[in-house]
Amino acid sequence: MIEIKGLSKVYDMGKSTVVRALREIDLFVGAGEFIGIMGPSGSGKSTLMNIIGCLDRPSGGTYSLDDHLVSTLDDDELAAIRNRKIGFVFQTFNLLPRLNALQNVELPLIYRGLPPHKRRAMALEALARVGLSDRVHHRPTELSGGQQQRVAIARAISGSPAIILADEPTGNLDSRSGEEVMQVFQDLNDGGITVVVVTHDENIGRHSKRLIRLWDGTIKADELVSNRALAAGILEAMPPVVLITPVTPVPPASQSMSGSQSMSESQSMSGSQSMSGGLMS
Amino acid sequence: MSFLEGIRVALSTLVTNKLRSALTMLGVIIGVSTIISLLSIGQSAQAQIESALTSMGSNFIGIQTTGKWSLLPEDCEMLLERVPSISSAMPVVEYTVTVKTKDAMRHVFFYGGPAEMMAVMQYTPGEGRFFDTSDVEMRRDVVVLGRTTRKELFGDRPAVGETISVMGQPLTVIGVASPKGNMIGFDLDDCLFLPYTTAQKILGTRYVTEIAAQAKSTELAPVAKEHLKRVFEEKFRNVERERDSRMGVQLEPFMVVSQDEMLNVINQVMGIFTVLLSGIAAVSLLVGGIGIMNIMLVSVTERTREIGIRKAVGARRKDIMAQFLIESAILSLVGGVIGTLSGGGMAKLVGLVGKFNVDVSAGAIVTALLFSTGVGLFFGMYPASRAAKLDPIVALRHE
Repeated sequence: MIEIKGLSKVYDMGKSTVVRALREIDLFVGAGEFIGIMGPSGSGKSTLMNIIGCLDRPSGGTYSLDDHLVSTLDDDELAAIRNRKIGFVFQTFNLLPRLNALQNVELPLIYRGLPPHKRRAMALEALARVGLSDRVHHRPTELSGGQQQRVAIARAISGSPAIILADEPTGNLDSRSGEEVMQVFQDLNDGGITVVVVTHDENIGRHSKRLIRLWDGTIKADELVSNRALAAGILEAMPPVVLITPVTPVPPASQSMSGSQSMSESQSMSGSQSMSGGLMS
Repeated sequence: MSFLEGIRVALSTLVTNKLRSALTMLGVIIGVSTIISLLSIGQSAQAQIESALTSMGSNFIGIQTTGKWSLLPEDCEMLLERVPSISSAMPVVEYTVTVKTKDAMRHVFFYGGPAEMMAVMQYTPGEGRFFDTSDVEMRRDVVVLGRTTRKELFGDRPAVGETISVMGQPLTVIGVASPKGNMIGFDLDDCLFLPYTTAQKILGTRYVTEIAAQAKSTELAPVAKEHLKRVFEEKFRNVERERDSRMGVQLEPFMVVSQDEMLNVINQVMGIFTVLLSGIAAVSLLVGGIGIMNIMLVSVTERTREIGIRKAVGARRKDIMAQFLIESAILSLVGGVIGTLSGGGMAKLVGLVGKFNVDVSAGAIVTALLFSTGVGLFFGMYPASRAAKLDPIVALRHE
């Protein structure tokens, strides 16, 4: 699926200043994996994400996606790869405000040149998979944050991509909506879609099957998540009605990699079996 | 992305920003409207003058003196003898006079000529009769009125048999010509017709102002013109040439002007007119185009994020390029259509006020629409290529 060898990215900032965002990274991701990429800001996770997403080209090394060597393609060829192989999910949803949910989901299919009836059918199916069949004609402003993100996920999966790339997908959501979004990802992954989630949130990271930690442009750790968080179970344990609850910011320092649950938010989720257990064990 | 899809997207964007789209179009509307109205008015005026000239009968060659009056009616017979390529020659006295009745007064143009003059000028009798050969020979004090002059002098009262005074000379109205209408605002029915002999009597001269000769055929017209010129050069050989004090050139004492030449002069004048108008129209279209470019640049900046999203989901450069180009083309095309309608309306209005027929030609419409769309595409090119070249990562980060 993803084969990265000796990948590096250097930004020339001028005046002989260069920033080495990625240094000689090797990474292999197989089909059906659920990868979490974590790391502090400046660790290179956005750069890695952009390169995997074919939005950017590496300065060195090779990158193959689905047996296509994409590190040497030009802009339009990359656009075609993005259109067919990659589904993006962004922190800020990035839906087009003037279009309704259906039209937003159809967007990649338009650029694929599919006829209207076909892309409509595909878009409706994608919306059904994220549970939004009843919100098809709503505009983004008429949807909640969680619903907007699910529309964005529907857009990402509408063209049956090889891989879904999510960049901080829960960053702008309350905990319940975030959990719902993660559940959609886990369901999709169970259905065989490869998912890569970039996050700085340990809680979200633990929803993945395999966690990659970046530090200073290199991979510091790459291990399987032994005690995976399952969104379905967490949601079940949540209070059924979410009142206007302040989302407590989670200081990264408090998110120790120990087995104990120290986050304030997860206190309310106590009792969920899936939340216990260490990541690093 | 298909072309149709592009049009749909562009239209929805333009409809969302109604006021902005309308203001952007305004420049193009004004430009196209100027082109259409001025072109239509110019073309119609030209066509009208041409048809008026040819309706005077064809193959006419006019001989006029430039200085002192020196043409004699007798010259006509001499010309018919010496110039075989002409079929007729009429002595004509043209003059502007004041006409009085008991209770009305009017400045009008009068034509003194032989009996056949009115038929040649394609007037037909409305009331009464036209003057005949005996009226001309006997220098009778008779006059035929144009329709408008008749109305102004007599209103609804009967005119035939009444007397009018032209420069103190009483003339009896024997007829009224049927109306011929307007030629670009010039009333062809506001005039008098009388025998040239009577006109000479009133003006106290033995000369005429013009001799109107007619060539036997169109092919012979240039020959006839050249021949006439020679004859008059010989005739005026001993006449002292007047010197034009301002231009410092010697004037020929006479002028031979053929209908063709008059048409050519008119066409030349109209040509200059058209070039000038095209210049004005081009400038206004240019301004309109710059307006489109300006708005499209703003639009590209505003929609940077949208461009980023579209690129992320697979839009290629040409897709983005097409999206913005179609938008500016639609802006200018719709502006062009509105401009065509308003320009056509304006031209019709001018025709209505100026009392002449104005047609908006298909050629003018096609030209205006092609030009306006071209302007839209040309000035949309730079903003569109800027949008197409945006880096998706940068565009997605744009707030």
